[in-house]
Amino acid sequence: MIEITIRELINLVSSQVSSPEVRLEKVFEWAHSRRMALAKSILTASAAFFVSLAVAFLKGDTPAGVSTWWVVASLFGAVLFAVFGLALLVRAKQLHKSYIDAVSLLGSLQALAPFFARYREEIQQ
Amino acid sequence: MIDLEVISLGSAIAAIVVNIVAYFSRSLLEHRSARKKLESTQEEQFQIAMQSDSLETLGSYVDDSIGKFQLSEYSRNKTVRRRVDLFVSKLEEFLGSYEDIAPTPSPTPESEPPDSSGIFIYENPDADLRLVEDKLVNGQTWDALASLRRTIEVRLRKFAEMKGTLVSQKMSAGRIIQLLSRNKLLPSGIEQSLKYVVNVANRGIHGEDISDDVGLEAYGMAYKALAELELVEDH
Repeated sequence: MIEITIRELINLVSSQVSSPEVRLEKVFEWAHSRRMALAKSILTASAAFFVSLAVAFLKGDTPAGVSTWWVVASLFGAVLFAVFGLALLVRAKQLHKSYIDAVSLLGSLQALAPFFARYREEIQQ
Repeated sequence: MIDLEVISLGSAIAAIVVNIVAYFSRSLLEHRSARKKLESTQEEQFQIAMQSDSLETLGSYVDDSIGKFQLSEYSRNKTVRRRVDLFVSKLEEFLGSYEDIAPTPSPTPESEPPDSSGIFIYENPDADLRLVEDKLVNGQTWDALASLRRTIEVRLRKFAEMKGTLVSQKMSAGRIIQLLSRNKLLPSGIEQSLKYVVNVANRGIHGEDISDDVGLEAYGMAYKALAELELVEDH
């Protein structure tokens, strides 16, 4: 989740740091990598659950004493894992749109950078 | 005795459920937070900010209202996006384009340096110019230049209307001067002075550091040019 506020973006622009768009890109890259890593690990765990259950069912290898309820719960858990992992993948994809929107906003704010820098100077006085 | 495998499976499922609940709760909280922030950027407050000539009012609206939104809210929430984009484009329009802030040489001859004694020699400025004067005296140069530019714009619109020239609401003071000059309605001296003053005001409003001397010179020039404009109106 990108938690940068518009105020922080304005601070970045008015601090006259070089290439703020490159720094913004880095932040989004990190967020995207984190989200993809989490989505992949959750989907892998879900797949592992499904595969284990499928193998057990096909082999007729259900352990004695394990009620049907636990098997259903395991299946349900695997489905939830899968749904959560897919939701994270969709959110990771949405980051692309957020990035484009953020860069577009950054461009507009850069034109106003001297104004914001002036305002910051005034309130610091 | 409960099987250890069953316990660990149960724990894993509980962890998944907790994470999913936390994820959706967070989304719901974010949505509510965005709505709350939107309430603080209501149209009325927005209009107040945009009618203002004060650096502090405009800047604090950005900090206290628009600035609180996260980039993710800006991207996902259409209402947030519309409000932010509208404010930014209004601010761009208010500050002017780069063409408007390219430095213009002062029409003041070198033999007449600007009066930097700090004593205002202009008699009976009207209410608008007095407001500009007060702001200059109080060191609020940005606010003074914004007010001065608005005053010039209002006077030029009135002058243009009197001369039967159509001026759109979106036209800046600089554009109005160009239009009046093209239609040969503005004497050259007044045109040069107001062009210079508007340029100084645009540069100051855009964020360039304008010294007290230059601010004073601009005010004096505007005072004289507007007084001459009134004489032209009367003829």
